[in-house]
Formats: sequence, C-alpha cells, structure tokens
Amino acid sequence: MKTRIQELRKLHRISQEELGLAVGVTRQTITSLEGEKYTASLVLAYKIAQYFRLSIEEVFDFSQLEEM
Amino acid sequence: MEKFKATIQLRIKLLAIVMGIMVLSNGILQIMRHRLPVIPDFIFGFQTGVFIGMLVFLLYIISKYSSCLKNADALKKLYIKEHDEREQLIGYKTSVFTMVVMLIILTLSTVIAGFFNIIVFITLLSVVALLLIVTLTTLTYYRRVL
Repeated sequence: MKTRIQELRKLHRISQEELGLAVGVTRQTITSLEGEKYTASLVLAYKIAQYFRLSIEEVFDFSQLEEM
Repeated sequence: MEKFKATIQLRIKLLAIVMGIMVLSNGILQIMRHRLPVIPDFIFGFQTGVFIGMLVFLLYIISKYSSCLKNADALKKLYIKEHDEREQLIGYKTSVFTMVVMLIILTLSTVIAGFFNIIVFITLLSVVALLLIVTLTTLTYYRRVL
C-alpha cells in the first residue's frame, strides 16, 4: 500500500528508528511500510497518523483498495 | 512497561530453574552412566554438545534479559522487538510454511521407510500422528478463541 510516511518523516526530520520507537515497531517495519512491502494494521496506521497529527486517509493511500 | 519488566523477571527465574534442572539431570545421568547401555562416542559427543550449547544459549538469554532490566531504553527496544506486528506476521507465516513442509517430508519418509524398516516406519508414523494431533488441536483452539 502506498503511504506518505517517508515524505512526512523527512518533513518532520525524524529517522525511521525514531518513528518506530514512537509508534512501537522496529525500524525494519517502517522500512517495509515505506517500501510498500508491508501493510500496517489498523492500530499501527492509527498510531502513525496520530504521530503526524493527521487522519489515516491522509497518510495511507486507499485508492488501490477502492478499485478492487 | 512495568508489566513487561515483571514478565522479563519471571522469564529469568524460569530460565534459571530450567538451567538448574538441566545441570542436575546431566549430573545424575553422568553418575548413572555405567548402569546405562554403552553408547557410541559420537552419540555421547552429540549429547554433550547439545547440553553445553543449550547452557550457553540460556546464559546468553539470561544475561541479555538482565542487562535490559538495568536499561530502560534497551527494555523498550526489547518490548518493541517482541511485539512488532511485522515480526509476528513473519513468525506466523514461517511456522505455517515449516509445518506444512515438515508434514509432507515426514509423510513421504514414512511411506519410503515402510519398504525397508518396520521400526523406523512406526517411529515416523507416530511422529506424523503426533504432529497432526497437535496441529489440529491448536487449530481448533485458535478458531474458538479468535
């Protein structure tokens, strides 16, 4: 799933490690999310969106799911 | 995090008990060795290797847990590592794949062993049966719980 995590992370000048620690996942999970290899659970998506003070839809791109 | 800290403390105690039981069992077996059947050297070497390997591994885990208890950041990292959802998914997928492959290999080995040796055949058949029972029981449990 496409996300804006990398873009938002660079905007907030935080590393993958820092974001991972803040939302309770490993750096590798953030890498996978940014590389569109792994889709976050609802809880993780909520935590990431909360961290950037955005809604889930503003961070995660659900357009491909809607097409299905 | 306090709950996780208590879990780690409990794990250290349990691992120490396991180590104690292992050392005690090994000591008893060494004392009684002359009463047991004579085994080839390579089997004795294998047993000793497994025993020492397990002790070293347990000591490593205990020391890792102990150092995490002294450092809040390390404890949080350990908590994250153990509760990371991607890691858990990898674990589930690996377990299921391994189980299926093991069942296929063991079943085929059982069929092949049937042509050569009845003892090996029955042993492998028992392992396949036990594996199936454990798998089906676990599957039924999780289908009810989740």
